[in-house]
Amino acid sequence: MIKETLVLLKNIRQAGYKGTIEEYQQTGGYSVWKKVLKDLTPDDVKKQVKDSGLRGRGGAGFPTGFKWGFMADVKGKPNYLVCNADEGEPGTFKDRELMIKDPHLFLEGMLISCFAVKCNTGYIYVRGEYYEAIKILKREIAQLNKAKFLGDNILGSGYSLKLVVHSGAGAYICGEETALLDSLEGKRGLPRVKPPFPAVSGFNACPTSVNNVETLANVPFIMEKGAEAFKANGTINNAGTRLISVSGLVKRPGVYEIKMGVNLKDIIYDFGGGTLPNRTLKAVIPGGSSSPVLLADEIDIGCDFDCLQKAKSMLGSAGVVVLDDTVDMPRLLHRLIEFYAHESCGQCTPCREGLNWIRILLRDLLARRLEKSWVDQIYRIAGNITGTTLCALGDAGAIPVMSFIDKFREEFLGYCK
Amino acid sequence: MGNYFFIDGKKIPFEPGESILKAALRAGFDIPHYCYHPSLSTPATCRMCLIDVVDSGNGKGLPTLQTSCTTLAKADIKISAQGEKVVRAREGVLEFLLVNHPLDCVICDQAGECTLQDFAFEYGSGVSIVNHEKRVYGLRKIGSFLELERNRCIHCTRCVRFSQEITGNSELGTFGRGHQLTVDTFIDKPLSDQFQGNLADICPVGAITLKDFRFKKRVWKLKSVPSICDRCATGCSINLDHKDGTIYRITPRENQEVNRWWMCDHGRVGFHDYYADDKLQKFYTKGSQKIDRSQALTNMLTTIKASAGSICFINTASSTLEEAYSLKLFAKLLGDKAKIYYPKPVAQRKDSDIWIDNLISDDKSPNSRGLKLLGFSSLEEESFSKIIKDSTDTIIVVGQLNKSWQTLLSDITDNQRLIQLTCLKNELLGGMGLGLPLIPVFEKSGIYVNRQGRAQKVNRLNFSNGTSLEECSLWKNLADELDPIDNDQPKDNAEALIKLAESDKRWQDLTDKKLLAKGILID
Repeated sequence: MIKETLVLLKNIRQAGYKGTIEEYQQTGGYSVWKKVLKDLTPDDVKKQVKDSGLRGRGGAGFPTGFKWGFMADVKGKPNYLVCNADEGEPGTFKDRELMIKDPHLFLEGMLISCFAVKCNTGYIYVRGEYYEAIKILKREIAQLNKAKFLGDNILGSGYSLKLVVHSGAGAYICGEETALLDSLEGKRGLPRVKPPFPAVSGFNACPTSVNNVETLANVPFIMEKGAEAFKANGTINNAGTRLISVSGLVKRPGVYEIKMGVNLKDIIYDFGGGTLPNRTLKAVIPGGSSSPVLLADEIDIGCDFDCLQKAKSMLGSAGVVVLDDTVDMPRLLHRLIEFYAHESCGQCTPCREGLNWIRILLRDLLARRLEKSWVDQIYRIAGNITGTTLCALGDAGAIPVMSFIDKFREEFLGYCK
Repeated sequence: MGNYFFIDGKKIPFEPGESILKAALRAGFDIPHYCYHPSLSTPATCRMCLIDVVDSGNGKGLPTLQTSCTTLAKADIKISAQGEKVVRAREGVLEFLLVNHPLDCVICDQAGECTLQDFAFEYGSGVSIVNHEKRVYGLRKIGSFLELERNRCIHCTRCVRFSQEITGNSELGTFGRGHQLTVDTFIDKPLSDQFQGNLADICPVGAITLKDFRFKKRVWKLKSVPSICDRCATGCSINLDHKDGTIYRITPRENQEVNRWWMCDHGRVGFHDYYADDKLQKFYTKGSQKIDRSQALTNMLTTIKASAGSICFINTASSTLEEAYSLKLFAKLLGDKAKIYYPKPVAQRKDSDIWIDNLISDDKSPNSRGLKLLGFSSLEEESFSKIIKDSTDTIIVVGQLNKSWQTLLSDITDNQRLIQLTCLKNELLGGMGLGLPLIPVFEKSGIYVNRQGRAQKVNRLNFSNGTSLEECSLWKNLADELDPIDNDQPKDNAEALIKLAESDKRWQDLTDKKLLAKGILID
């Protein structure tokens, strides 16, 4: 029986914890923020985060310290830190947990990170559907202002910071960092051409770092206990703990915190409680709906970026979706593609036309209108989308198609006439 | 080393900071593309120009295909534009574009100059497996000049970017998302600017077409003659697209020094004036009596001979440089009593920050600058009025006067004589004096000098004119009658240019090639 490693969830797991600023301070909260303001320079913070090996928790797993390091100090242009709280990947709900149940842990991380990248106005772009999180964040930021942890010349340090909570309007694509910046600027959320990367030209064409909620929430721990303590959790190259959103057909769905590298099977059975009675495990989607599916016999595997990559899947946003023998894979895929085709921004060709074509073909397949040869055609069409699009949404939609057909071809053929 | 990179082994030179696509196109290496246009920003969304960087300068290639429109060229990188990966990706993109594109090429005006057609033929797989119903958008009207057929749209957004970046009015936008993405104007608001025709030019497919050209002619039947526009003093480079001498449309020809890739809508459809009912083809006497050509010419000669007092020529600067020079020589032959003027050009209003707004000159004559260079005197409207009232004996107008000047002609008394040479009819013309038709601009070949002082070549279509007069030969004929032995009058434009070049060095070495390519800055 494995146990959770509590770093991010240490407050949440205490019974009766409500996440107010007073409670958070009682557990030692904001002492790190005070220490940083008093004793450290932005470069000190950057270095410590870089040394900790913290990798982005939004999906791509890019080292956060490096990302901050790329930010160019341009004369006459302010730096921005934008927190990506547009948690839209199906099967992922870890950021919501943090924002609702322990907002101050995340906010303290945000404050320290803003300080590190010399940003005076930080934005939190929250998914539109998370109205509760938006409400809570706004309320708690007001509390922070009252407590003088935020505002002009914070605690006499000479550093000023303002935080703005911005609500998305329900587009999945606005979780893509450059589309998010467009949306934040008040435009249609369309992914931009990279380069230039946001670190050079991001929000309002100024140097910008876009970081995930969970990533920022790790920063107070790193600054308090040091890089080595952070590395102690997890494996080489995959430092720290990770929030896993377990959902699907398990007994106890929810958010669990593990050391990186903990076995996926243990997560499903020990935390998730295994499959529902009288069902058998069929497959697991390990990192949000866009990651390649794993078969029941492939899940004896460490849960970190590198192990899952070796198994030709990915950790992504760590949204583990458990599927049992009652799940009809072609039907599930059709539902997924409905989502991705609907959420495509439409600007680039393969994603706009390809995903919708696959959607139509899967609809026809389920209606038993297609010949067997179409299964290969669907696979081929998905293959033409991968690697040819501007942003990752095309791949996100096409990868599950390919992996579902690879692993459950018989089920697809069964629907053919 | 040096600023070269390689596409499929071919050496391509580049300027630092230039994209692979731009350098390749300049070197004559074709990489298929839709959303890229040299004048517009590069959104890199059509995904057609994908290439494979097989060696990014360090012996290693890049793992994924790159869009050549956004990948900067670097010395010694090696690109594959024909490799299997690229060929497959292109086939894929074309297949996607054709999933919803209607197969209506047979009735589409773009057919024949449609890059979707071309690339599908060149790079497509040749077969379609699509067996479901295609996407259909509703009808939209975007104004009186253009036809929008959204079903044909491939969402390259060139038109949207044109309206944002070139005209700056943002009248077009993209609406909807995913496969429902569509190009439209805002809330059924029609397009209002004067450069709409360019949208039809830059549309790579038949989604935006000219109403004026709709269903008129298949483009492969058209032949193009390079020329310049005569509607104002800008002198945009154009192509006259014609079949058997009938013009069907005018399209802009790239000239970075003058009009870049664009032209205005007035110039684009202005040719209709010369084919409309008000084209002057007959000869008229005073009182609007029709007479035949030889009689009219005799009358003209008699009038000139009979003018004991002053003769005043008003050239409206639609004559080419050669014709104007020929007139100058003719006036010289008449001696001191003959004077030549051209209407003083309207001063250009202040330069607009939006480049394309400066494309339309306020001076509507194509050759005012040329006449100035020939030493003609310009004339204010009041002075013209004075000339008429001062009882100038004979007034000869060459070209089309604007309305207010034309009105002044009604002050002419019975003692004065008026001869009007023009290619357009107007109500006053016939009644006032002798009226003779000139050939329109499409039937003559010569030089116009635009408002920058740039000499450019106006080209004739290769067709025979009817009874209308050609200016040089008119002056030649009259000169031969007046002084058969000792006149220096050139017989045509070519000879006039030779004589002009002899008298003034500036007009030497005006080769057709240079005049047509970018023009030659004279002044």
